[in-house]
Amino acid sequence: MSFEMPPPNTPEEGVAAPTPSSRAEARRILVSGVPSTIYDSPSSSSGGSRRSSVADDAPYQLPSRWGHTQDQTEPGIDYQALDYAQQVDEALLCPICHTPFFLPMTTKTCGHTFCASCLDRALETQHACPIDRRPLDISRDISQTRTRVILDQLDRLQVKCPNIGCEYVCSRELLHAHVERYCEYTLIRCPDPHCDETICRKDARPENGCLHHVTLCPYCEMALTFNDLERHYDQECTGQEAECPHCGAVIVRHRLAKHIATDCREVETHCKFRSAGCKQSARRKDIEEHQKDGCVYEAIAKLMQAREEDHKIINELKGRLNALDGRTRHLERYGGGGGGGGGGGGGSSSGLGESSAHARAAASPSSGRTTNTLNNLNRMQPPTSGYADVMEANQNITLDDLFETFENENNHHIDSNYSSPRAAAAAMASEASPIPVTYNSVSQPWESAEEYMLAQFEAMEAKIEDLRKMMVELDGRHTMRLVNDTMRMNEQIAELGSKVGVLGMHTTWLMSMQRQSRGQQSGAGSTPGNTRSNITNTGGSSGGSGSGSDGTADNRGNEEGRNRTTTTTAGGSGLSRMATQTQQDNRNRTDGEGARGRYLNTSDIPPLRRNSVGRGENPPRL
Amino acid sequence: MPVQFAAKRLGKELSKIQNGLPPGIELVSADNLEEWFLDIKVLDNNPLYLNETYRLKFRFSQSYPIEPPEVVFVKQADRPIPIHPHIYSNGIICLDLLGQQGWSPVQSVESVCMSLQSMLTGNTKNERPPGDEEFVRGNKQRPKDIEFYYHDNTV
Repeated sequence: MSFEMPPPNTPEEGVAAPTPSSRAEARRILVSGVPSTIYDSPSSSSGGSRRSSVADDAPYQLPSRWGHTQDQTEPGIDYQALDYAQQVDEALLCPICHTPFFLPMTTKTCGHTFCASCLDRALETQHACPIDRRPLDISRDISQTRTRVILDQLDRLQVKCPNIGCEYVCSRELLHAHVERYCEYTLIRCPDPHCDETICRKDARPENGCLHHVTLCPYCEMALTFNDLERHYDQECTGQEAECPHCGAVIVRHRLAKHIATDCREVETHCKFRSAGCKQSARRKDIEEHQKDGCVYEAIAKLMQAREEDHKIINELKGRLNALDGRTRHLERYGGGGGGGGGGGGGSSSGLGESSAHARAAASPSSGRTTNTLNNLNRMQPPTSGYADVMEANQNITLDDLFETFENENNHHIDSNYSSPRAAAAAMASEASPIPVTYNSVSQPWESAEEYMLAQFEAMEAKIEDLRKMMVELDGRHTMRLVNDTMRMNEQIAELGSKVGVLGMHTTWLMSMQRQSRGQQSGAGSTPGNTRSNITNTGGSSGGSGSGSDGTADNRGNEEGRNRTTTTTAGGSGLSRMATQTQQDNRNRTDGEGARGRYLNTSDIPPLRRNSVGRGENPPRL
Repeated sequence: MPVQFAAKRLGKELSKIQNGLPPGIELVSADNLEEWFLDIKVLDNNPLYLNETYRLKFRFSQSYPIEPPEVVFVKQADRPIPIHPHIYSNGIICLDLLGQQGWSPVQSVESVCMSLQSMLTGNTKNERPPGDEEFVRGNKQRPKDIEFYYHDNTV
């Protein structure tokens, strides 16, 4: 029974799509506003026919305004009379009927939950919540309980099948299906179209015909319907009683055979551990005593039983293993590779590349396998210049190569082995199935299928181990290459860095030169503006951050020129100190204005080139 | 159908009662699903009811629990009618809980017994309802047909 409920109906909706029986009811509710007492309507029950009005023995039928579909409200099961298999949490019990909620409804105003039918009944007398008496508007204040947690818990409650004679226990949501479709004890219409009676499903077989014909009890000559005979024998038949020849008990003749076979305490019988070897035989009551005292064969019987169960399990497992094996082979054949797989164990597959076939033929099975796996592994990576040599020959290897080698290996073992008598039968079996089973079709080298699988497993494990090693190796190589590449890059970066440093030095030197000359000029009284601005520009663009402050200073004016130079020299870094050094050299070596014009071209500065680090084939590191 | 519903509900209650009842309440007999007898005691030291046991008779209609059960005290040799301003000397109880208006289907035999227990416990007046003698003499009605006027909110 699922609680996939439609949205709650307002009374109007209830009228829009009601079931025939509830339409009038809904209208009455609409008109009068008072729920009617449909439970008291006269009964008209006829078995099998669809219920058109509420019968005495019928489950409560909800008015359609509750929004439950007819399927849910007419399940043929009285959910409030169910016997639950386990203790139900009190929180899940409807406070009115004291059974677990069925089609629960919750009040919107106070949040109390009741079965739909219970709430409906309660609201008949009072339009208020039964628990806290808050007024309730029937059409507005009540909605179906939608909390999944609650509904799920209700669905999962274990219930016993309500049909008499049925011992079935299931969760409540499945009960409906069980009763409606499967339960052998559900009363259904007699298969005879002319008969209106109901009959248990298990008795309703077409070959039986109608069992409702009246018959006479062979012992007491009471007139009964045929399907009632069993119950009659057991409960009320008194005629034609027979005396048990062993114990003297008087029973209906019909039951005598069963009585002697299972019940009579005086009849001679065997110990129930006879199959285990107990030779004891005595009257049943003595035997019972004997068994209760502990028959020595009891332990053996238990062992035998356990053994039988084990056998069953083993057989089942064997069957499953065979099926699995078949599937594995099938996958290998048809899923592994279209072109290459067809050849089977021979090793002369057509789809293989020359080089790989060569490698496989040359190497022993195990080493060939290793090569192939390595090659396969390499194929996964895009070819790089460093690994091209490894890669070049193995472009055509596919996954089924792995399987090929695998099979070769197996055949290798197989050749040297005996052929078991089982192999013949197995071969026949494999002929029948469309899936070739290799370990069966050749002479079987293994004790059992389990062993074969174990061996396969071990081989696989070894392969995986190989693969892992190769992966590690590859990883190492990769790292090495990475490190090598990075080294080169590092060197280049270092070179660039040193060049920048040299440039910085040049700039500083140039500027200090310029300032010096400017100072001399201001001392002389004439400064050509063009030249000055030129120099400033050169200093600003090539000197970078190191000479930034100097550039600004230059723009200020000529008067401070000399002072500024001094400041720069004093506060500068190592580079500027070097520059000062060169500057002093220059002062010693050059003479005045003539040389300055030449020095504007940085690349031609003679003193710098002398101790320069800027250019050359072997750049130093920073 | 209503028959079944009442029977099912009473069956549930009975099995619960047989599993145990609150202190001071005891099931005397529940031979059928129409009439049950229970004994109640007042547990505290209220001198009015000290060491007394009272017998209650429940009668269930087929509409139980939608309709209230008919609950009265019955007089026996060792089971007096408790003295209380809302209990007539013939055992009829004037309690809104037991009337059509005050009843709620979530009540049960057990909860009714507990309500009566607490009603007795809270009482200090050693008196019968006004007009008791007259009522007892003249009343031929069943309790559920009597129009009670519930005025006392203290009980």
